[in-house]
Amino acid sequence: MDIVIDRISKSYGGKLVLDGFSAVIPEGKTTAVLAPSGAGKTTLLRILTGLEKPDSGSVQGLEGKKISMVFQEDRLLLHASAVRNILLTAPQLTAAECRELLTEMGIAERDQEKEPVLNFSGGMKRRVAIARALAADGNLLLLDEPFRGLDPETKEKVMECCLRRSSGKTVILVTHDESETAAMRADRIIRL
Amino acid sequence: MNKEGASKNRTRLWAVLFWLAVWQASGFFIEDRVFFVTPVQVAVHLARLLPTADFWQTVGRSYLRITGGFLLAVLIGTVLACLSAAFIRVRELLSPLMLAIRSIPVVSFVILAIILVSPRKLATLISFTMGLPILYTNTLDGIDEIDRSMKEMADVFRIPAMRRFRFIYLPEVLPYFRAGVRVAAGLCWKAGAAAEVIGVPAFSIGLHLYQAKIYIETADLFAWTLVIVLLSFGTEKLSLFLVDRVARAVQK
Repeated sequence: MDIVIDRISKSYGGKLVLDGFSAVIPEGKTTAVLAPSGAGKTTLLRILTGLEKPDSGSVQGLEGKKISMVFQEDRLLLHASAVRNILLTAPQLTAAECRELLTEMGIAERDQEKEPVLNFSGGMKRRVAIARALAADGNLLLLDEPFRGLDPETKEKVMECCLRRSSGKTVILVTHDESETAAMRADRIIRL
Repeated sequence: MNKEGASKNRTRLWAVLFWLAVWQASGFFIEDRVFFVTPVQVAVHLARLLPTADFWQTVGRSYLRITGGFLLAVLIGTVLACLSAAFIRVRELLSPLMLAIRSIPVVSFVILAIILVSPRKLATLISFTMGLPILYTNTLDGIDEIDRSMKEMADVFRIPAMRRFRFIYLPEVLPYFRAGVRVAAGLCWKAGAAAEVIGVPAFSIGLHLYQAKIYIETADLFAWTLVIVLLSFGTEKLSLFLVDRVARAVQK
């Protein structure tokens, strides 16, 4: 079922962040939401996840959808290993499957099962957060500026992995970088 | 505290031996053999106590009374902290009570409690009363410090309650809880022993301390004090060991 966003508005402390925004997110496709910083992209995702309620308007088509998400911040268990972080949201996977995913993400040189992610670089933490979202048993994948902080070579590798692993899922990619929408083969682009 | 800081704060054996040597050396200059005893005299006196059944019965009963209060404080303090974190009215209700317990001097509690409970139960009650606000406050502080963004992440991914507890909540709360256990273990022993001295129940360390004061048995006083210090230290180390083991097992 498509997700139908109908005239939602949201303000914080009197400042209007979303003003009567409407859109249709087609099921099983990749939709990119392009906007500069502060335009309400993250607010839109927070409404879709149920973390925020819109002041007015409605969202339909989320029933029965399992959400997985890459947040703007990594939100990892810093004292746990990369594999443990993935198993937190994807207990159906084996440790070997987690390692395989992490290797695809280019985190092969670290001890994926023992080393706490606290010791990882910013880019590596980011990749673990992306891997966690890809591994989760969800059919709606929300990506909030997921590739921020990755170098071009790593970014390309990670985007390829994202494309492979998110096939058939409804994907909403929030970004301000137009090149990412092309690389992620977005079926629709919404400008906020 | 990081490992380096913890290592710097650790009590070194050489430092303990240095101060014992200073104490022993003082014996050469102080001639008063009634009030002043050396560490060697204390050790000899303690060695005489060790083989007696009365010593072990006394230690056992005091240990049960005081650690019983401490364990109750751990259990009830943790449960109340969880309830306070979940329900604001419980937090509001308990706030003045915990503040009062923290502020009232131990001796006032002991004197009030001795009117209400038997001397046998006094040490347990006082130990519990002193430990409760520490465990309550520390655990509640830990719960309050749980990262809101991690709670949101768990909500979005619909992580079940048990897994959230094991991997998100427990690691955040544990350092606070652990610090509470550490402080409370020592305080419960201090307050519990003081309660025994006032309540003087049969087969208690407090009774021996009281008698040592009456008969001016300084060696006895120091020997039993040393026993309290060792029991307090042992309780703290055992409790922390168990907390760490349980935490490791839960998070495995």
